[in-house]
Amino acid sequence: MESTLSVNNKPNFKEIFWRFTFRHIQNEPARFIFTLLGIALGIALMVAIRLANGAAISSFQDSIDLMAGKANLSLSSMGVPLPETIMKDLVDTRWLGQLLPVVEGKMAPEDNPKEFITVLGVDLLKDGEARDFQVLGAQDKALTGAELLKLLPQPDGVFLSQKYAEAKGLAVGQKVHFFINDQVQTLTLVGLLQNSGVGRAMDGTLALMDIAAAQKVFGKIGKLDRLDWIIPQEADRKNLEAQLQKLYPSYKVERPARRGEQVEKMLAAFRANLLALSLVSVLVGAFLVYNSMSIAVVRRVEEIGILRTLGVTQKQIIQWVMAESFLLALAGVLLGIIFGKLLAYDVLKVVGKTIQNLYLPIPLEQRLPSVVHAGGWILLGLVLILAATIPSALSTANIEPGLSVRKGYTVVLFERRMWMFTLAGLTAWALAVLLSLLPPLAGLPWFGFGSAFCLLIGLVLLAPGFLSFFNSVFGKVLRLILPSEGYLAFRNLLSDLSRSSVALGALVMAVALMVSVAIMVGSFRQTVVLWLGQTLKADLYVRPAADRGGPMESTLDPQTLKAFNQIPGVKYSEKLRTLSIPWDGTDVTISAIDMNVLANNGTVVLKSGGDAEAALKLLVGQRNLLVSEPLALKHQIKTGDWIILVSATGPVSIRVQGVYYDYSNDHGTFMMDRAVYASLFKDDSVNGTALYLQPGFEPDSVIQDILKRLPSGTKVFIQSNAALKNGALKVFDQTFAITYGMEAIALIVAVLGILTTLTSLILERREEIVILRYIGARRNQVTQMILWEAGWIGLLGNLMGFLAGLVLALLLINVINVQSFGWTIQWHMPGTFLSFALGLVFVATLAAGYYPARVADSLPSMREVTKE
Amino acid sequence: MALLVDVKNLSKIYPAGSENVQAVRGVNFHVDEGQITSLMGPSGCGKSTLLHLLGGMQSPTSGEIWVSGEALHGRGDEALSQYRQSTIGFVFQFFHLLPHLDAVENVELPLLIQGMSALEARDKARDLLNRVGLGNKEKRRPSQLSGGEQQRVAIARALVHGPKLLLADEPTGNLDMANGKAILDLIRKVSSQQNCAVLMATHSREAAEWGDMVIMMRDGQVHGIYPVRK
Repeated sequence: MESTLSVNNKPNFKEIFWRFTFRHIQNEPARFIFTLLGIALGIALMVAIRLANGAAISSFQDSIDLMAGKANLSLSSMGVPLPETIMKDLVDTRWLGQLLPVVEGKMAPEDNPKEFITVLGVDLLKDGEARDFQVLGAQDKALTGAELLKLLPQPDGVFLSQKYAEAKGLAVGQKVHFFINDQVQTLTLVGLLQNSGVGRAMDGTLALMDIAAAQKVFGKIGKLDRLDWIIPQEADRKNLEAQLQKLYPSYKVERPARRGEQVEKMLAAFRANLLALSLVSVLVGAFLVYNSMSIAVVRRVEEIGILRTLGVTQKQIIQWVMAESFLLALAGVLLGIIFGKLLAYDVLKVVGKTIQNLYLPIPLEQRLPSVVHAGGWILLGLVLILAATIPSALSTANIEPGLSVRKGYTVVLFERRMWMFTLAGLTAWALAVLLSLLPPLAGLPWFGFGSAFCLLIGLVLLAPGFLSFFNSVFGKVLRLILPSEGYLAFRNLLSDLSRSSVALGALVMAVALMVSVAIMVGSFRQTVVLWLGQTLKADLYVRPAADRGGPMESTLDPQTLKAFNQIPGVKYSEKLRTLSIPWDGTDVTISAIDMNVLANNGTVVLKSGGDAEAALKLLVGQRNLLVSEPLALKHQIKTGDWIILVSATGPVSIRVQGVYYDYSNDHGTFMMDRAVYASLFKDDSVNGTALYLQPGFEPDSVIQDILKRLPSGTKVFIQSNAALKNGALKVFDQTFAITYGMEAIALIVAVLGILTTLTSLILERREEIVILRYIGARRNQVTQMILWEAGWIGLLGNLMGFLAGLVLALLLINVINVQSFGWTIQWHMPGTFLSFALGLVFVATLAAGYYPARVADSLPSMREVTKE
Repeated sequence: MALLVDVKNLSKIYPAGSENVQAVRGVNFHVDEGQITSLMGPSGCGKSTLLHLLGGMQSPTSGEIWVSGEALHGRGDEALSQYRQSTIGFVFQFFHLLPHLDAVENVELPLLIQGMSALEARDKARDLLNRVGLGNKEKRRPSQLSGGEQQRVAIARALVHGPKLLLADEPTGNLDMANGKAILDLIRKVSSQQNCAVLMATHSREAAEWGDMVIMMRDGQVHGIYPVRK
């Protein structure tokens, strides 16, 4: 006789799964939809950020690669042009491969000076071997070599991209006016760059000129910006690279392909922070799924008990729950991918603008990579969400068939195990503290992110303990002071901590994120406002008109500078030279200022180095400099250190007079006297000037005076002190716009979780609710009770979230920000914003209680209340 | 009649705070194939716990359970689940039908769990529903059936897979007298058709005397085993 105890039957899983899972979805569509939406929103945000980041990086890399072409070695001057005679010195390198000189410049269209076009001046006949471009003439006909040769002698000829010309309605042969440095120049559009290769670079804002014409137009006669080589043999290339680095230590010698890697490195911290923030939304979504599956399991305890009685094994129950979870997670992720792809275009615009403002002034192509690019993160999101369902699935294994048909069993089980959650939560927080003390890893605050993650997880784990604690402290008082609906509502939450605490935990997490980011951004903004107020002391700031958009690369003519000194009302003119140089494996900004003016009229805010005025005076005419805080932190530079700069005359030792606060960039700045810079680097060009006015002179009237008195054809862009500050703050606000969007999404997901939980709790408690009605409770009292429950979650969520948010803000400001960017941020509490935001969260949670209240209103009659 | 169930010195203790509750204490009895046995005793005497132990839904603290010569005690979840699938049918006081499935779907569930194809399971389920007199209500959900009808569906579900032992925990406890008697008659009829033994827990003397044997229980112990005089 066959043993009754041997295992040999496999259930008809398909039929059972269909009956149970899809019937439940049919019966509870709201829970399913809200959970699905929660997952989808979290994933959508992560996908959008990832795709936008990917688009930005690939757009930059594309542009860099297209501009470099086949060139595999380059020598550049980083701001100070090379003498043309260097070609003669390096003529012998031609036997290794092609040697191609390049002049670079920047110009702004007269009709929209906020735009800018990058110009490459090249040997148009030979450069086609390096860079991929096709030149078109009138009627978009490709130009032959002979036709191109005829155009070359034209001293003002420019080739704009087809995309740009079409956008501006320009035709071949047309005259176009551009601001170049501080002059208006008229160029002739002699041809178009086809929309491929170089014509596609920088989203069509790259132009070509013949090198001689570019030298003339940009005032670089006898000068070059770069030499490119195409060297077929890698061994030869390496040798030449080493020789050039030795011969020209003050120039940058590199493989052009490495620029892409450098761009990635430069943007690493920014991108990592964005992704980390988006992961929080996924986390909140994962908790929503955990909550939803917990509810599903609890609501099906009886069902599971019956199935177990009928012979379904523990393993099979777990498989069923996991299969259902997987279905839900997969559906949510797929929906999230669709939403994410749509959202990514908007995110790309915002992210792209930020990157251009803060890091790289290269226009972006609005072209997203395929979703596969976000594949790794989508998988991570799916894994996180599935992991969130494991506890619910495993909890079914602990339910014995006989007991599980008894109601309230899982509640008792949870309460017995609550100490484990509290212990786990405290452990997570202890780990958070430990991780916060660790240094950055590969330049990024990975341990800081880990600490924040542990803090958030700890919050959720501690939520049930917090509720219990709150009751033990305030329970008796609440009973006396609250109306019956309010007190009953509070007791209802306590009666099923396993579910109410998860919904609370997810809300706490989202509120903590919102509070911490609001404090961080508010503090940062306030710090920047104070810093701008302290450091921007001049009345007017002048730049060449070509520099209105993008970085300061254009220069002011000496005649223009001379003219400023003759403007009535101008007391002092403080000239500025700014450029990027290679230093210690990175690119660093040099800010060379007329220190004799700055020391007496302006100031810097020093982190170390004593009195600011005294420190600045020690820079006048001396080989001393100030180092910006981010640079000092990343390279461990202190006041009193000596650093080596490779100047035009060779390496020079310069003393660090102090470290100053600087929020204009995060890669770092050396500030020194312009006269000292000019003597060391043989460069007396000026990118801008700050004007200090005599008392009694109004900035606006002086601006008008300047514009009238400037030499003919000179065009400058002048901003008042207030306008410059406002512009800087506008860039700041644009940068953080995306974080506000992400917080909003995290909050929406959390509120969806509350809605789902409350609805399920109501359905679970329908017998109790009907009994309440039978013993005299009015319909609106029941409704109020449910709204009170929502209100309690909102209130406690806000309270716990706010406190946790304060701690998280400390982590963001003092660990993650410092390790990512190197800035000191002064603590500031944005009271008005937080009050408004927390109030809105509370209202949203109340609104989330409205639907469950309606459900309670429509519950069936006493006939249903006949079970044990 | 051959021996089906043999229980030897069976005990079950539940932890309850700082004390332990001994729900079943040193119980000894046996059930033969096809025999209808009632477990009688007041509320809390351990009847339901004993049924759960025999149904493999809980494990004993000590003692032995032998079913068809195989030991049930000390077995793992896989083996006990298989035992419940193939050997046991269970009928509850409160029916415990799945509310979102209709009558025929509730009945065919054990067959699907055993791995039977949907078509074959549906045929068998219909046959059982007809035998319990509900052939024309197979598409009704539990909420659309009366208490007696729901219990009939539960009996059909308990017997559809041809178990050797039907465990019934107060099957008439939630029904009026007329319906209760009808249910007991139905259980007798259908189980005897399948030569299925029945062990029924009840606190009602009338219900207890409907079977072949009565086991009297009090405070977790067996106080007497008596044949029913017809």
